[in-house]
Amino acid sequence: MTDPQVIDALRAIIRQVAPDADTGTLAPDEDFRRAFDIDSFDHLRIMAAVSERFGSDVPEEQQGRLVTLRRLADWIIAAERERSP
Amino acid sequence: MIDFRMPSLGADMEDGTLRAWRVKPGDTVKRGAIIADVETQKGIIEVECFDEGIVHALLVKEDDKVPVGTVLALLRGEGEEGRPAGPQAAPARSAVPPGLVGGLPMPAASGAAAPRVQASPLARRLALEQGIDLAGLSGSGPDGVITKKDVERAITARMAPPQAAKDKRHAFVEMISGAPAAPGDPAAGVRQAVAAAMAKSNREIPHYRLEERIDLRPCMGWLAETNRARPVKEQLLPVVLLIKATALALRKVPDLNAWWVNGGLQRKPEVHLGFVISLRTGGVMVPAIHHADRLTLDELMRHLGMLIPRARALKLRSSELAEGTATLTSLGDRGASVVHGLIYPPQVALVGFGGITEQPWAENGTIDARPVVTASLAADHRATDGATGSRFLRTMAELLQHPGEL
Repeated sequence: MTDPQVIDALRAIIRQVAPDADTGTLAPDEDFRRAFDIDSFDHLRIMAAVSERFGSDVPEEQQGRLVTLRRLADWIIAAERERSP
Repeated sequence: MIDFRMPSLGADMEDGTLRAWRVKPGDTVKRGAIIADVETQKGIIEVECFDEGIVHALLVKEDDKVPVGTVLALLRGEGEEGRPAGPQAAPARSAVPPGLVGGLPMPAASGAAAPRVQASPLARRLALEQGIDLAGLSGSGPDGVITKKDVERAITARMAPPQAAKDKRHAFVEMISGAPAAPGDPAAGVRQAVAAAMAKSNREIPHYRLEERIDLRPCMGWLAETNRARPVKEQLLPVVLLIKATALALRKVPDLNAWWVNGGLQRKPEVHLGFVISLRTGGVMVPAIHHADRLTLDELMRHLGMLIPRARALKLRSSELAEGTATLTSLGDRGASVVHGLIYPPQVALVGFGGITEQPWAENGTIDARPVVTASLAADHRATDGATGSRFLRTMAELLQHPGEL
């Protein structure tokens, strides 16, 4: 999966959790929790959806850091590379 | 016969609109079964039944708006049903099954024939099975006789109302807010409901307020360790520890787990903790978590997983809105550091948590940085005094030092 594809998938995941979020305007380095008023409960739902969609469980200690599209995409691509070197 | 009445789903509710019946005459209902959808300022609420029995008659038509306390339906208790018919009791096996005629119950006593509507036997049977009111239909058969087709049309019409329901909902928001509902503003009704409840609280309740900083290092450490071993889906959030500690502390200080009714304190035997859920579009919903003191942390987490999306979709149950015994509001990890809240009447206590932040903490002559939360209590001074509130906050802080035991 390429970087833009991952980012598109992430936008869809966020929209699923926060249906009124206009993720199209979200900049890759913007904190989406602040942008869409996403609380810790919804953030955990996003982490769960990411884990399911990309097949790697987001480790607990990483979750607090993964609050932008860029960081999430980087983490996902790195995790994919690790699984299939 | 048991009366099933329009419930009061909060101190601010005066009436409700019956949007849909979920049962029909002849159905057996169990305790906790959902009987009807009622629209209030807090959205469409699934109203549950607190008795067991058989639905005898539905007394209020769909879309009727009626005051709190109005009898909506009659239920026959189990005993009434099985017993041989006494002089005033409904016959055990009525020749004419009870049904609806123009929104009124058919006379069931003595099993007398109800006013006959001209309908084919097949239509009659189908209407009875499906709970369709024959009197409301016009017949397309010879001499205006209602046929099976007419009943089927009525069934189809009943099953396809989503668009109509949406329009009605819009009209409802306009009605209660007294202003045209802006498109895409479904929370206007919720705003009005919050306004009414909080104005009443601020007007009538003499609040006293206390706060306590609580060291959450044991909790956060325990959570990190617990979550590390779990897939994301089964991880816990700090809020479930706060909920459990609040519920247990309420059990230990029962004067705060109570209602103030008619000038007196009414202690509640169970802890049904109201949990404030903010809607993205503004306004809050406060469904009760039943028996919050008895649920495990995993059960609380799973419960929140269902409750929060339902609350945000304005789809809650009557027992969740009417039975809270105290309320908890947690501002979350990006919230302000302390909340000074208003009690939700007729409750007597509101427990608040600000955001969890790293702060300097002095203990045993040294200072270090720890995750700290400021817990606050707003309590009704008619019901309790500062000493009670203080004991509550200290009890809760102590419970949070031993997260493994929560």
